[in-house]
Amino acid sequence: MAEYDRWVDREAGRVVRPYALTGGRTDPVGGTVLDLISVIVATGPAPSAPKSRGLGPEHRKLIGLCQAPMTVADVAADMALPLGVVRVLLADLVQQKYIAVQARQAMRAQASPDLLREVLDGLRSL
Amino acid sequence: MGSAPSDARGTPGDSSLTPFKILVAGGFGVGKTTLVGSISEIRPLRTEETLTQVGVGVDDLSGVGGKTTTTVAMDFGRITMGKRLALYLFGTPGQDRFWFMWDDLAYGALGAVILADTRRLVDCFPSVDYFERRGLPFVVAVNVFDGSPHYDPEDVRIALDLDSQVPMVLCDARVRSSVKQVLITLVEHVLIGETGDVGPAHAELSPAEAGAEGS
Repeated sequence: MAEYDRWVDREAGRVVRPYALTGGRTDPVGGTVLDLISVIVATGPAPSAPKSRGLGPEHRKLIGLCQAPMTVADVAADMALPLGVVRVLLADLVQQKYIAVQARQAMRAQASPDLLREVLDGLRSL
Repeated sequence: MGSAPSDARGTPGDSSLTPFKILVAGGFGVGKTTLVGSISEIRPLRTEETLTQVGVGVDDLSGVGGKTTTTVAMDFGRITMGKRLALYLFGTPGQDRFWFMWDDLAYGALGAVILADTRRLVDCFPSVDYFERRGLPFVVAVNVFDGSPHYDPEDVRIALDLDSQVPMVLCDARVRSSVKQVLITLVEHVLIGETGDVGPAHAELSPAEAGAEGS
């Protein structure tokens, strides 16, 4: 997961403007904005380049990253790409069913007391 | 979108991950990143924001006419508990000009920690107002470090005009056990609010705020 350095170098600045990776799109397709901690997972292995017309290298890399369930924030950090860009790319993959949204974040409203106590126990045992 | 993802898709109990979100707010330079880093592995998260929102009066665009976005860096940390629970800590951008990002961060959050520096208590006011209006449970953690004047926590409570139910703790953001206690206090506070032992901490706005918000 280190090859992203060829896209982003903190010292030299970015080689490719971030939204160039989305073809200039700034809004996710379908209008669904994934939450920072929505859990996403790939529906299969990353397709090889010839089989994935319309997918860029970042799309395929995202599929590779999401072989195990990941949160959007973790994916964005791993990709070292701005969150907005990652959201646009992920929405493409969700629409094309390469990636499924496994779970929206556990909303506070849905957090049962049992779940909260589990969090509390987890914190206490840190 | 073909099929709207539903919450039921990930069945609890199997390998699915249940993430929770906690915000760490406070003024610029108060130690939010330190706090997150004390208890979790910190990761940089960057956002690309359009300058029309972010850079008004701040970013000098002369000579860079094509530049329409600017990067905002945030930090977050993850605490993994067992196989399925994960607590995500997001430091909110401290500068006023990134205010608009808070809604995104606060959406569905479990609660918030407001980190306070007694030398610049006024920096906390926007955070307190924001979380009170949103009805998001929060605790105030007074970051006590060398050289900071020592105040009675109750004096700080009065200075911030905090509801008596809002927990207030002293902490050292550099010390893991101290940060852990802050988070425990927050989750206990949320739990008390949810189970009804004590009413929701921020169901009531002061008349002035309620009037100003109109919602």
